[in-house]
Amino acid sequence: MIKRRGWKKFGVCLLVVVFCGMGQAWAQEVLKLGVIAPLSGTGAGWGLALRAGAELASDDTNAKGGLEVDGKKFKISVIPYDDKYQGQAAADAANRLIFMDKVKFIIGPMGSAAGLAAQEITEANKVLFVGNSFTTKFLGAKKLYSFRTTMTMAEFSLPMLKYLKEKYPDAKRMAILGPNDETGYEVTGFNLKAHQAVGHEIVFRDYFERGTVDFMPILNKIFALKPDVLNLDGSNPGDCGLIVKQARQMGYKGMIIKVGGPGTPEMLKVAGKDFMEGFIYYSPINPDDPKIQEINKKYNAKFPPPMNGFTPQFYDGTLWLFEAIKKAGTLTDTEKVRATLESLSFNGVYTGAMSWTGKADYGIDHQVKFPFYVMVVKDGKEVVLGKATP
Amino acid sequence: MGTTGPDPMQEEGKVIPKSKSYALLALSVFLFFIPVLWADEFYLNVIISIYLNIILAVSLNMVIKTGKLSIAHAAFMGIGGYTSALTVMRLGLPYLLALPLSGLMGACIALLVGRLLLKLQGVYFVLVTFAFGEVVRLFFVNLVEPFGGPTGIINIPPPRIALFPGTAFTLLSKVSYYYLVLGVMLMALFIIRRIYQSSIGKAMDCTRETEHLAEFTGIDTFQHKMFAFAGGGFFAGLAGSLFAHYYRFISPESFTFWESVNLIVINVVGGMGGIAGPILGSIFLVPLPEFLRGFVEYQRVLYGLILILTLWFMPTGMLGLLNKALDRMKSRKPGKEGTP
Amino acid sequence: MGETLLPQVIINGVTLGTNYILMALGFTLIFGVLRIVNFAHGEFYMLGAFFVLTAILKFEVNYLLAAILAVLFIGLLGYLTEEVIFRRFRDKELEGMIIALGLSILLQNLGLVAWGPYDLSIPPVFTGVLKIGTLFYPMERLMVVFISFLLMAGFYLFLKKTRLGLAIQAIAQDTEIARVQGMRINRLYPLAFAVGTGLAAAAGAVIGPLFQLNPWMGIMPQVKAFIVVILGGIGSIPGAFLGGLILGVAESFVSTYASKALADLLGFVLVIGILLFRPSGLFGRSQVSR
Repeated sequence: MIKRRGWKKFGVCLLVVVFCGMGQAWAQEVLKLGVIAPLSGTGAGWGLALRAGAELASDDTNAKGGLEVDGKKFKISVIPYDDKYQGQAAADAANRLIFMDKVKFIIGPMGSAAGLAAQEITEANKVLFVGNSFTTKFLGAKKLYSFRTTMTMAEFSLPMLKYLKEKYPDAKRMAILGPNDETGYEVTGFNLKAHQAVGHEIVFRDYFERGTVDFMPILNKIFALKPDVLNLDGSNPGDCGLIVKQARQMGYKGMIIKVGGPGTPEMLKVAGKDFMEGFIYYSPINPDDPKIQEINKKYNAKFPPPMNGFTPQFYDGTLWLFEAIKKAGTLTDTEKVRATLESLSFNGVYTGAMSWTGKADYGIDHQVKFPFYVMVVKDGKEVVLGKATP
Repeated sequence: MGTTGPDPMQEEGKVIPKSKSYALLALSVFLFFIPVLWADEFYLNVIISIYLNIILAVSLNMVIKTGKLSIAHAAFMGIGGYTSALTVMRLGLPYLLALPLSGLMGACIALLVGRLLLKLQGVYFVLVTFAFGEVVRLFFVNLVEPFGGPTGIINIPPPRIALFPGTAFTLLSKVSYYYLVLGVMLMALFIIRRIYQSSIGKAMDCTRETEHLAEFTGIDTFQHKMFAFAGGGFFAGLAGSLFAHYYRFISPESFTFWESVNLIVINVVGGMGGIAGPILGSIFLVPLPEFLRGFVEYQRVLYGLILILTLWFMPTGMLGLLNKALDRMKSRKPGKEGTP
Repeated sequence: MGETLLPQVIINGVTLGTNYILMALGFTLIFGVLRIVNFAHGEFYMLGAFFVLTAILKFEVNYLLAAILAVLFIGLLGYLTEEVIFRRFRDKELEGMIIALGLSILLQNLGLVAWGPYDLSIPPVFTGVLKIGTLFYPMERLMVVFISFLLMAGFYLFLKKTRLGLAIQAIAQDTEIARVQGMRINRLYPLAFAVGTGLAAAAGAVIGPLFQLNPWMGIMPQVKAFIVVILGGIGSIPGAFLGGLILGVAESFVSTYASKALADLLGFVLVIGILLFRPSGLFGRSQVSR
């Protein structure tokens, strides 16, 4: 008897669910933009940067009256969902965006697992997926609707290390330390190859478990091998800050570099400017550029500081997508938008000349490339050391 | 468990007798028609999630029934998932073989470790299963060959089912997957319900409630615990396989301590007294994140609150509440056939 | 190369160990006396650290005062928690554990709502590095070890020399007899819990400035505390002490000479081994299996 009652309750619940689902209005004048990113837990820093970039780009477009497509103006509505940097949550988010919110364009995600899992659904449903998933497997000849608008180590490690080799020819012994997760693994592979290509000697290469806060044992091991340079790889900004601080506390005087994603302001907060002196890293944008101050202000008005370097990148990536939609003249024919996006180069507001590449590495030209900056921290400030082109 | 207050495990007195089995059969048939009534992909996704959790939660219930609270259930799910993915992708096994194999792998490993772990009592058993779960996860994370390490395994193919030679079809759509999961879930529920109703089920109850007395009456409590643990491992393995081929991607992230905790919460909130408990718990808790999408941070706060409040106010879970409500209704109608 | 490595490894190990000991002390007290597996212990650690952060950044209190207030405040919170939440589960170990789990989820996510997902830092208190020959030792770590020893000594004296401490030991040994002797269990239980959480908060206040603060910072220390307590024996103070040192040094050795992954695995394998073969740990009582 209980079970029958139990199932009746289930039926009622289901009916309620269906009615709720049907309650969503479909406004003609709105373009829904989905965002899948880690909004909680590890990676939330980068996830927020992604979401902020998409939202700020949408806000600016809306401020100009909306996106003009085929004669009509559309207001952009951003729908962000948390993927917790995990595959399953990303897949669920994709499911919800595509089938419940009826979205055809998604910005995101950040993580590799998240990207790969969600991709199964976006590709099958011809939904454009424009993001950052930091794994080579995200792009492929058969993955027609996935694009990456950030550069990964595959694109910038070689040019960056070439630049460093020229500038610091005596720095030969390399120690590479990365996180023990999908991003860490992928990234180290490229760094390794690039180091070897420019003639560096790899004296150490290992991973640390996510959640580690005490790096002294592993740093101890590293410093015993007397490296000239410590490369922090794909570690997230919080961990990097700790590593730098602890390494300097242990008396390490060599170079510390990060051939990986941005996060220097966060690192400065943790390690302090004395320890961060001389830290060299990759930056897709020039932080001194007055335009960056502008977006920084807009960012701080809406989100908790500090702004991560990924935000301007996603801003530009989102605008690029909008441009493609506009040029294709359709919101519903994703095939057309895809083809248009592929053929379009774009001058990013903050990122400069963005164009597609990647056929050699991935089998399809869906990877962005643009000239970037090699930066150094001097007296607590981010200073451009040099510029490089992939 | 406790000696004062309502015992969460005492609710199963109201097990459904055989005459009501036909009602259940009718219900199962109804479930077959759901995709016809609601072909919406989004809802199907939620329902499939619910079904997977039901398989996991009910099989955990089996283990709890013998008095052992295990926080390693997600690890067995992982074992099943990786087994399924690897045997299909590396050994080329057909899915109809890979699926039961995943279950068997879960059961075997459960038997192997259970031999040692089940000797521990109460809280210590919980702690050792926690450690075991972490060890399994660390294995998955650190062994790139064959588990793919932290990246896990991607591009897991959808199940290719060949019931008769020459007739193979691939489960590409959600609707087809719905039927697969529904089938496995119904089978699991049927088997577990039969076990609960049989003398084995009664023996399991005795093992939990009064272990010494049970031994005295000749019940080999250790055997029953092993049986339940292995059974739990088996169904968790099956669920793992279904999970892997549905999301087409698995990584150690999906099989952590928190996933095991989720299953325990489902049992606690739903009620551990019978199969209906974890079923109710799954139906209530699994779709919850979907309805709280706008308030991500509060979602988990609510979750913790629900757990605490349930233990406080309704330790017998939703099942217990339901039973109480039914009792009250029955007592208002004297003379009517009351015993369920 | 070998000469600097080994002593540094040992120092790292001891430092790591003292961090673990602080957490383990509170955990073993709560487990030993109240028989509650306090899955929320890490969250009290987290709250201790965040209390200090808020006090320093928002109210400009100095570090020492902030730390003391944190211990008192979180201790009070612990008292109330036991009174309100755990009281009715005093005889029910498993339910108590599940409630602690719920509390853990609740607190972590309340923390997330309150402080956001980003890593925050407490401004460093002790700067500078101590250099002896080729060995380096950051001052702040030295201070942590020093303060930890002070706390441990204080706690030990509390247990052995004060009435409250002795009372707590009594109820740990045998609750029934303690009750018969007239001890007010209803006051002692929450007090014991408060001391436990106070220790966790102290650990958070002391270790916080070293690393990052975020709502889930308590998870790892909790896991380590639990390993140490099993290793040392549940309810045993010297066990927590020795267990912490052993785990810290062992992990330091394994991370440095083998790999970090193996070091992480080590702790759990130890737990399983101990629970199966020597359940009372180094010094604990044997009530683990039949």
